[in-house]
Amino acid sequence: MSHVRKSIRDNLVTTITGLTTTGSNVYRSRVYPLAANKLPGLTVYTKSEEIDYATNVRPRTLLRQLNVIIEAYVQALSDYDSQIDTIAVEIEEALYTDLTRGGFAKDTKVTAFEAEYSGDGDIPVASAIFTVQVLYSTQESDAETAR
Amino acid sequence: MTVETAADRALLLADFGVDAIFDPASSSHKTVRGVFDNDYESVNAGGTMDFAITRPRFYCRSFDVLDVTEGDDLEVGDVAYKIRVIMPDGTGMTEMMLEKQ
Repeated sequence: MSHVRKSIRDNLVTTITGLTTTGSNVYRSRVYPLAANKLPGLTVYTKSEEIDYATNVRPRTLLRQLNVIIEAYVQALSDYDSQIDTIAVEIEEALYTDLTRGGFAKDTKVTAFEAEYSGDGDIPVASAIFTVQVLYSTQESDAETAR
Repeated sequence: MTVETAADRALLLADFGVDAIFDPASSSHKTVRGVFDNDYESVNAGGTMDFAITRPRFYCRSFDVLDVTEGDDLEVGDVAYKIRVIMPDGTGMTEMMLEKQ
């Protein structure tokens, strides 16, 4: 067994693997720079989580709001902004197919989008950051079981 | 104030440079000798990850590229580039940021 957060992250990686534009170029919590042969690609990070105690009687119920960052990277001479939006369509529609993340979550929401562009390299690169909030619940005595 | 002459710069480029073919929109093809760099570097485009990508640059005498403008074509070693930014350093040399085509 593992933390529900890991199960949710696993589900997200599986969900966005095999999309039309990015295919199998999906990298979980990657720490090394991406090279051109890995683009267009996606990275997934579970960066932060807010936790509220919903009950008073121990073991208490924890309501968790997990902030997942999905980043898309493309490299192209032109229309890199359109490629980012194509990837956005694919990610958002894939996430919607199961908002419970395989039964581990109560809801999934895409809450923010931000794009950046750079002409520093041999071919322009663009990135997009999707903030995805995943709501789930556990008991403080058992972080491996979703409630 | 520069300490070397245009001839000094030409000697330097003769030893360490390569030939590049320029195709300025305002004139015909010409060959210019300069230093071509294309190292891998990490470039941040806003996300968590950097890109490991090459950054092609061409350094040559400003005198040789007075008629070159941004958007002109440049060929180095059978690879075609487009000149995206021209950066004269004020001392007789010019650096050009290139985009691979």
